[in-house]
Amino acid sequence: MRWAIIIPLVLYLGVMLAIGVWAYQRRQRVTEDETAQYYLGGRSLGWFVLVFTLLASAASAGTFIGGPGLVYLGGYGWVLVSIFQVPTAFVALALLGKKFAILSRKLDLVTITDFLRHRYEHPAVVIVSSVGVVLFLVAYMVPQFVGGTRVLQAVTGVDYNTLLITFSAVVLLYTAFGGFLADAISDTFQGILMLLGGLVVWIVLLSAIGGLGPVNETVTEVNPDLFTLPGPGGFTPHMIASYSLQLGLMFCVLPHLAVRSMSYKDSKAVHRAMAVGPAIMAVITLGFLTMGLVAHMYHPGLKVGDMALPLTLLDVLPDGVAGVLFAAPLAAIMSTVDSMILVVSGVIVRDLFKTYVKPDLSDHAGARLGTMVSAGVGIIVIGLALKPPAYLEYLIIYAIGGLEVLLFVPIVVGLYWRRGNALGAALAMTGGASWYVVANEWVPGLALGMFPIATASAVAFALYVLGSYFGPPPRDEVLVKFWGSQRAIDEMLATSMAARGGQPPSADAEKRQTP
Amino acid sequence: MSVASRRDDRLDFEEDPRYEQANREALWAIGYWVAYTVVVTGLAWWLGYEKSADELSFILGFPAWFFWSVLVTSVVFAVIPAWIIRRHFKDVPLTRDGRPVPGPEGRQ
Repeated sequence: MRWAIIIPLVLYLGVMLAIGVWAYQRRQRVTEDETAQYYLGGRSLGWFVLVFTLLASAASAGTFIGGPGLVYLGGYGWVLVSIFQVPTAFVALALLGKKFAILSRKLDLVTITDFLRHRYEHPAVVIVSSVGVVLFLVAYMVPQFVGGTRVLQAVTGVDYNTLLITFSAVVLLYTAFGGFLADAISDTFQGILMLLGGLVVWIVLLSAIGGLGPVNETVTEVNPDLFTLPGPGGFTPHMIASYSLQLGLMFCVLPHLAVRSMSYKDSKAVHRAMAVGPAIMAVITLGFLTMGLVAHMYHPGLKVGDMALPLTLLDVLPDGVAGVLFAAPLAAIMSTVDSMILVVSGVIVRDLFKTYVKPDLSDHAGARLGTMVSAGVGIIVIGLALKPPAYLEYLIIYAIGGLEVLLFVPIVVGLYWRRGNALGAALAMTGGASWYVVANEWVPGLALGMFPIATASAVAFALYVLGSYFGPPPRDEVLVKFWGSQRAIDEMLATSMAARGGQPPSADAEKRQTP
Repeated sequence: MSVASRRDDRLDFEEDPRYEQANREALWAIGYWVAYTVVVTGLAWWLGYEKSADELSFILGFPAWFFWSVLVTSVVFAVIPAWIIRRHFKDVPLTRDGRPVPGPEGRQ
């Protein structure tokens, strides 16, 4: 057991738990809007926490473990397609943007499915999206834990189950009890670790080896194609551009990222985060990824890429330094998973349970239930990570792309186009998702040589437009809610109240109106 | 005075004036994304496509196509948003009714 590595990691876990305790105590002091506090931190984030919680949640094992592994096996082309995530802070926050942030306050939206429920008012849309979110995010969390645990096992010597249960239990505890604030603050700490990790890994590796010269000589011997395009990854221009669609433009609708678009306190905060974020993400993304080829000097001939860079770091660096550096991938994983747990919990409690089972669920009970459901979700993920079932592989492949195909058109087009209706949304979701699955599984030709998300999204968009023109337009109330001033909304609510015989709707009952 | 009325089967109502600005900002994001995709893909293709390893030139230890399309472009595009925001984005209250919350730490 390599204690010099274990100790920094244990310290890091300790800090996470401390943040959880602090956030839990903050929660206890809040007596109003407890659900918004639990799931959104009360919409109070300043730019510093916002930028790090967004980017840390976005960058995960893929950026720090899987990605370098792909670079090791397939060359610089993999770095090329990964940089499309660099402008996330700007693109994601600006595309959903201020309209989304304002609407979330007007309509008390806490999850992305809340948005879909109010906009389309149709159970099919709500249920398909909610179930999709739950399934895909749970599926995505499992390989995060598995991949991270495998790396830690190899570098610390501690056994797999102990490691898995320890660090997933820490995530579960601080997330379930501390809620969004614990999530966001821990993300900030984790994001800084990821940023420093990205910077430091370049410095220490390159100085230990003496620059890229020796690396390039080795790679030229091993497989010079790693330097080329299209390279072993097959990166043609249209394939490259389709990665940009998935990692750049469509990223914003992933629920754990979209929720951040509702969580900042004012426009100054979001402006600053948008301005600063891309530079931070550039370092985080390029840091570990670009060093993937270095591993050929120390561990050539590995069949599975994931272990290449971690083992190299162990070889090249003193244990203490390596231990601190390993906190970065661990941080990347935990910061993504904590956001996803909360999203899944929110969807289950608000968009499934409260909407269809118990509409009079009080704010306080909702927050309490949220804690329990978060813990439950964490436990299920741990169970699946201990013994991953075979079919999980399928869900994982589809997780990010599938969610984007499902959600992008209904959310983004629905946000900006009045004609968009439930029929369009339902067709877009089912048609786009089916096309995506078929293109992935059985008919690769449907993807036209790109990442399947490209053609699937085009299909989704076409179906959305079709359905929106053929089906009935959205109700007047929806148009006023989503395009109207607060005065117009208030007036509309008053009119509908008069129509109901003068009974003022309670806040909960108003939400009960919409299915 | 009503802020909503029906005329020619089209609902007229008072719209939130902030959304126009928000729409413009979303367009900036899309335009930026298109530009980034085109520059990265274009540069990589122009400088590096279907060149075998011995045809590649290297800058600072990286293949030239990589250096320009990945490293330099990312750095340049990482600073562009700050400029776009300063020139074209507006600071607006995010409150329900569009009125700013009074006080220095007013949450909006």
